[in-house]
Amino acid sequence: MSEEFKRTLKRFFTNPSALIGVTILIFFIIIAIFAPWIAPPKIPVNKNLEKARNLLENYSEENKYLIINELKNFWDDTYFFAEDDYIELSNLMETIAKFHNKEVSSNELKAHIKELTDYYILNITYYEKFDEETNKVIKNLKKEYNKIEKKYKESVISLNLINELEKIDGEEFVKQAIKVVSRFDKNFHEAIGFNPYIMPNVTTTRTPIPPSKEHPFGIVNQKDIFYGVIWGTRTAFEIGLVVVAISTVIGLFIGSVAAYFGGWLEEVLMRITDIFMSIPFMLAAMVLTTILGLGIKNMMIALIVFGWMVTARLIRGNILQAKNEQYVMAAKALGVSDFFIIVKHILPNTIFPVLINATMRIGSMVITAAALSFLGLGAPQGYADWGSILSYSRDWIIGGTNPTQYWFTILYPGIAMILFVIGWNLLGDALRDVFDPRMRH
Amino acid sequence: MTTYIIRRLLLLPLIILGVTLIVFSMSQLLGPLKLLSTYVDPNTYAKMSERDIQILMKQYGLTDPFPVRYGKWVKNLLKGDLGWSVVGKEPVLDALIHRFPYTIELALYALFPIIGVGIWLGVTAAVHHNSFIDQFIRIFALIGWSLPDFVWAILVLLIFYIGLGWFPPGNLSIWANQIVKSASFKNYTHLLTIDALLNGRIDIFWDALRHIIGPVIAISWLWWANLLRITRSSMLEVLRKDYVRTARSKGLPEKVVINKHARKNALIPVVTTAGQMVIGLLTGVVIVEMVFVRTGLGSFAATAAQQLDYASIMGVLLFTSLLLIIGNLIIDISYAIIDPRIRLG
Amino acid sequence: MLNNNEKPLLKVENLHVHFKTEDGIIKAVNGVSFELYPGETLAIVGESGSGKTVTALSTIRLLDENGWIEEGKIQYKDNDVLSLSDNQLRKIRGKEISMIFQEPMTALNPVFTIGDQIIESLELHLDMNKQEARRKAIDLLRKVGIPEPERRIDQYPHELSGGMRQRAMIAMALSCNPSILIADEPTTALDVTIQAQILELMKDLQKEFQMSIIFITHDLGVVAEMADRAIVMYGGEVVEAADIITIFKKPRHPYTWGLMNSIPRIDKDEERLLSIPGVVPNPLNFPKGCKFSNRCFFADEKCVEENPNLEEIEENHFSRCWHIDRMLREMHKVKEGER
Repeated sequence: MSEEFKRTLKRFFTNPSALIGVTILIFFIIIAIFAPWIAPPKIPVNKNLEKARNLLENYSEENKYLIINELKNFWDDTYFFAEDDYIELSNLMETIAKFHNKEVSSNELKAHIKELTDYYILNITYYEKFDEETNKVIKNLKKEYNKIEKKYKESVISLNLINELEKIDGEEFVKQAIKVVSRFDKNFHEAIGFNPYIMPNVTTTRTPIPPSKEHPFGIVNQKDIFYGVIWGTRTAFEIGLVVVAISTVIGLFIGSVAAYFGGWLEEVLMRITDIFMSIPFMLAAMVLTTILGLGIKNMMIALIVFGWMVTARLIRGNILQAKNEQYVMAAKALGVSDFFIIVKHILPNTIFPVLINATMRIGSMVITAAALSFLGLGAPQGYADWGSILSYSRDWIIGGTNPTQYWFTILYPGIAMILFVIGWNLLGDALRDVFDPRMRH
Repeated sequence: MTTYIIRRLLLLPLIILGVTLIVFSMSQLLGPLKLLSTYVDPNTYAKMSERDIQILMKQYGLTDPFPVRYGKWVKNLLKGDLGWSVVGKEPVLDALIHRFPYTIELALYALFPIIGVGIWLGVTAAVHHNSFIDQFIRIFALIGWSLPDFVWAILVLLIFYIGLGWFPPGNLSIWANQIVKSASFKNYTHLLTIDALLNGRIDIFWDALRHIIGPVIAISWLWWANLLRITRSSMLEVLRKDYVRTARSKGLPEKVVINKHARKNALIPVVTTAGQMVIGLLTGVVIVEMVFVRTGLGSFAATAAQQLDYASIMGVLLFTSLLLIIGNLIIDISYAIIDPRIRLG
Repeated sequence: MLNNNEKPLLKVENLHVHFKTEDGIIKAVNGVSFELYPGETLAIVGESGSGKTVTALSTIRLLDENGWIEEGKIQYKDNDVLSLSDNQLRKIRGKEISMIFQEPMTALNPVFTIGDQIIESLELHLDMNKQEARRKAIDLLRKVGIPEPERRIDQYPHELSGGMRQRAMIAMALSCNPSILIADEPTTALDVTIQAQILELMKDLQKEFQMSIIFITHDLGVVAEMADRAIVMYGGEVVEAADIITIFKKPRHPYTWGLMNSIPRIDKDEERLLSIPGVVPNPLNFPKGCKFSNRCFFADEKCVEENPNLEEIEENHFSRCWHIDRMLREMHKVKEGER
């Protein structure tokens, strides 16, 4: 790369806030990556599979059928209804197809759905909401069908695997059986919906328990704070990066289209941007999350919907400015193609401010998301999320009789949160200092 | 300049219309049944047959096509009908009007310490660029900027209420509340501290003030950080300008150079941030109001959201958007007034 | 004009100015010396980065916060400028020595009227009250040729044209009747016709106010118009110094000669004969020897290795070059060719 680029890099790596920021973020990245090792989730075990595994460890010929038996029991528990469900839903899909072709009336379809809900194959809401949101229900039914089809196929494969096992012996058997058990383990977790991001309950008492050897950050609302803080790192990264990345891309698209095409399109796009900017961000995100229904995903959607405007304005302004720069005019006069001008001249001069802005927004996005969770409007109950743990903490500190004894409930998640945001803000600050020529001296 | 303001004023209805369209579209994501709950108490139709519910929906126009529903909704808006607030147990508009003075009062008390201290810190840091003072103020800003408001608010409550017993949460103490709610206490402005003074009740004034200081401290750090960062970088930029060198070349004392020539220029961009802060304070400081259990738009919105009171949250959103739009207009106009280049350009 | 019998007004000796930057310490001025006599105009000529502006700013210690005077002596009348307290220094700035700058748009404060900015100086240095100062300011504005000064005085800088702004700037600089005016490229940002007007104005005012001018420029055409004496700077050093006629008639440094050939000549059809190739190098990587050696036609190994001293080659004519003889031969050839 060029001399200028090298100097910029040097400036960056001699900037103290850049170094501190990067160090903090690397620290959090390591925690996020190694979360399963730092705070291992309590993985639920299936009794049958557990027995099979134990038997496999001291394998002898007579155990073979015991093992196969356990696997078969597991299969029965998990897949007993898979085939029936699959057939029933296939029939329903046919009815839906006929309904689309107007061969079947909506009432008949509704009756068919009722039948399945009566057998507990489908959730009753499909029936209840049928009139209200027919299309949505049908869409969800198709999803349901796909899920059950997948399960059915897996059941067939699993059964085959067990049958295969019966035919082999000795070393070969052990080798294959271990593979089968681990595959079944995975199926089991999928079937019961195991999610490491949900903090498990570790005690039965609700009052917070101070830090101990086993739970170094203490326990609040039956949850291990250490577990929550470690896995919450992943949540924070996910929210910050995904929300900022998507909203930035949207903003980039709208802003550059406006600047590039100009005219009425620019006018319309920029007025839409103005309108979105006229709604208070925090309240808008709060309201949209409430309407979409609580949960991390919906909260992220809300933050994205109301989070793209700054980027759009920034990129538009920068492009308009860059278009008038002399080197761009000169390149145009020389007959250089538009595409080349954009890639070579305009982009490098406009994208950096956007990236710096994006870096700086990550911190505040994470704060906003945590604030929503804190109000009980973001992450679902028990989700590993710093804002949620802090909201548990509030109840004890504000409502408790002797609040100072619960210091640990706010200290650890609070410090994690502050450090994380400081990391991003320092990085953003440093990037601005390094890239913004006005800040140089 | 006048053309710019005229353009802004002409665009104003369009922007407001756009905001109503967005808010309405958001509400339509709810689906007809939930929307019905914003008109009718859900308990009344919980046991109705489906056909009756359908009739009820038709009655409220929920089965009409989108533009018709939007038209009707806007018509109601113009009449001031924002629906029924479950949380406030009164019409949404009344609920907003009753809560807004609390928010205004908090904003008023927060405004001056934040702007005064924020700008002072920013100028001080810039003048002592790269010195120990500058580094200290920068770290102060960085922490304030990175500190989640709910963590800080809890800490303030912990220190100043639970620890020191100075600034309790809530609007008023119980005894004061009883007096304020009684018939003998006249509400002139609906701002507690001012009404207390007008009623000649110094004790209630102090009580109201005591309750307001905690939230003010909780809000301040973030805005100090924002204001001082803007002031500092603006001031640093201005200090490098040619006209500052000119002022020095004239032999003016450093104090005059900084306080007169540099600061007046440096404060122009600060106006925007300060204005945004005022808007931010008025559109409701959700977290701080919730943590300090204060009445206000922010806590109203959060409570309504928690209880799925859709009519109320839509109402708050519309109301605060309107505040934001008007506020931004005022910022732009005042920006033009203080900067002669724009005023006369 | 040169009058060595008089005492110099300003005397700069062996001035060294350094700047601290992220990329290292820049030695912007290295051992510059000159004298300024009452009533004369001294031009400091050089390209940007030659240290000419820094030299001028140093005389009233007006350097940016990352720069400092490493070594040297500056004597104004009987004052040792470098040892003055800030308060004493302020009594010289604007009153005794005042400055005008290249870009009148940015050099005037945009949020104050030009009247405010002139009156401020008057109040400060001449102890006038508001009314007196205002009357004097209107007077000054009229003197610098601003029409309708009564109205203009209450206008903001952006309401004036570039030429008018520079006139206002001059009025401000002259408000306290200074004995030295430092003009840092005062016409560079202006149109050619306005340039001429401003130069004319400065000459007239110089006579009227009886002041000395330090004229900083890269434009030898302007130097010929204005100056009595010139010093040519390159890479923070003086490379040639002489009175103005000598400089033009008998340049004795390749850089001066190159600069002169950069002036477009209307009387000749041909392309410029010689101009200086390349650009001024980054101040951090000047050549070890003669700083001009990497752009010089006559440079050899000696030039690259060793920096020549500034020698007095004839009375009051100084040059810093190893190969004046070579240059003379070449100049001769060119002249022959012209004939």
